Amino acid sequence: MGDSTYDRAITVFSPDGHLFQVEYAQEAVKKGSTAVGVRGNTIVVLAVEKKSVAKLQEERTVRKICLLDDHVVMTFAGLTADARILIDRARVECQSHKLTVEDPVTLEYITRHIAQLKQRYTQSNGRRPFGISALIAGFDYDNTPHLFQSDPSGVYHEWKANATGRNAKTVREYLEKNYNEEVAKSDEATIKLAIKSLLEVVQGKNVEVAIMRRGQSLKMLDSEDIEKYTAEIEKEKEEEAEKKKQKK
Amino acid sequence: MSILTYNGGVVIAMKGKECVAIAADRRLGVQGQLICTNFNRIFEMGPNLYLGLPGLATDTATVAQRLKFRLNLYELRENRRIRPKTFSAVVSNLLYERRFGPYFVEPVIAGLDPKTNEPYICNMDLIGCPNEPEDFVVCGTCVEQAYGMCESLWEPNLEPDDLFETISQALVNAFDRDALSGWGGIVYIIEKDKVTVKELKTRMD
Repeated sequence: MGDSTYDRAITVFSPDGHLFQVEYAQEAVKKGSTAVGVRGNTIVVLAVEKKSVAKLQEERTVRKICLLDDHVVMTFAGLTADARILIDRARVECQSHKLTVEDPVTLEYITRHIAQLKQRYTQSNGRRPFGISALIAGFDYDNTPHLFQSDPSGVYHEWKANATGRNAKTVREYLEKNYNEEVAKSDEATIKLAIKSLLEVVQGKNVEVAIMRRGQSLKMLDSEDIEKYTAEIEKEKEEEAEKKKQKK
Repeated sequence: MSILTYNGGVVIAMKGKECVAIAADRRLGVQGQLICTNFNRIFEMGPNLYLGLPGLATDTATVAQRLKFRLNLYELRENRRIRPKTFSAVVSNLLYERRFGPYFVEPVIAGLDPKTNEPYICNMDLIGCPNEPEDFVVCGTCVEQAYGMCESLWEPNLEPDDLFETISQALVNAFDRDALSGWGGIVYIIEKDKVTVKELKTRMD
């Protein structure tokens, strides 16, 4: 932000129409730890892979799931340092919007704002794109739930369930197979689906889960709750395996 | 007529035993003429933190909204509730930013520390000079009368019910001697686990 006195652009077109810097940023995202978001009818769930800490490092949880406002929560995959900047700018915009139009932001508005910011950095002198893909979830003030994803190029889409980061493709395929209306209707099923899909690619102990129910504030699930869900999921998997065996 | 007395109004806050109380009148006027009798001068800034803004009514609304903006950002970034002392500093900073074209409000802050539950009261002038006494604070159009009433009625370590009586009597008898304040009163008693709001039935003149 502010005027740049650089006069050389870093993100320029290639002869065949690609913006390589943006594509390299998307590569950086693919290296980041996995993040999953699932939208139910009365709940939104975000789950991320927690990086294991080194032996001498304090286990103070580095929160990858951040509140942007009372009703909007965001997580991301990619460069954590870049994310800090975007999160701060988004938080200021949420408050600024509330002050000037006296309404809390809608999910689409704040996603558009973040996406526009990302796009600006792909078309400015001396700047490189943000290396993060954000998953933004929450409820509008008319209580409809939404889940949006934005990537380093500045495009954004709304999703019913999505994943980004390492192994995102695997998780997304799992979500496509298992997400349906029945799941969306039940809060518990939505939470379980999010955790299950993340467990496809990640160990059980290394997940961080946050839920936001309609009309309530964000709740981070503590390790006891996560264990409870993983235990239930294990049990269901075993029962499935049993049934398959019996059929044979 | 001074700009600070254009709309009228008074706010008092007092410390008690593990509680604080903040009270204000309900009048909104345009010099002598009454406009409404349910004007809100006290704003909730946190579960145990209240801010009273007597003075020019438009600045009352604006300062309250701008402060809420800063407070929300603080709570999102720090991921915790603000302490009343820190909030005082934020208010003081906001007002001094406008040193040479100030907001015409004289804030009164009352609250309990989120961790220790220690009572805290503070008042400021319109450019943010804070005053943090141990007993009571007053701001508005009948400060002299209010100071007199508070000085005579206040004593240390009042229980919440006694504090309510004390602050109500101080408020009502002060604004009854002022043409620009009155027309009803509202009292907030802030304790560790609850906040009680009481509306006072007063002389409506």
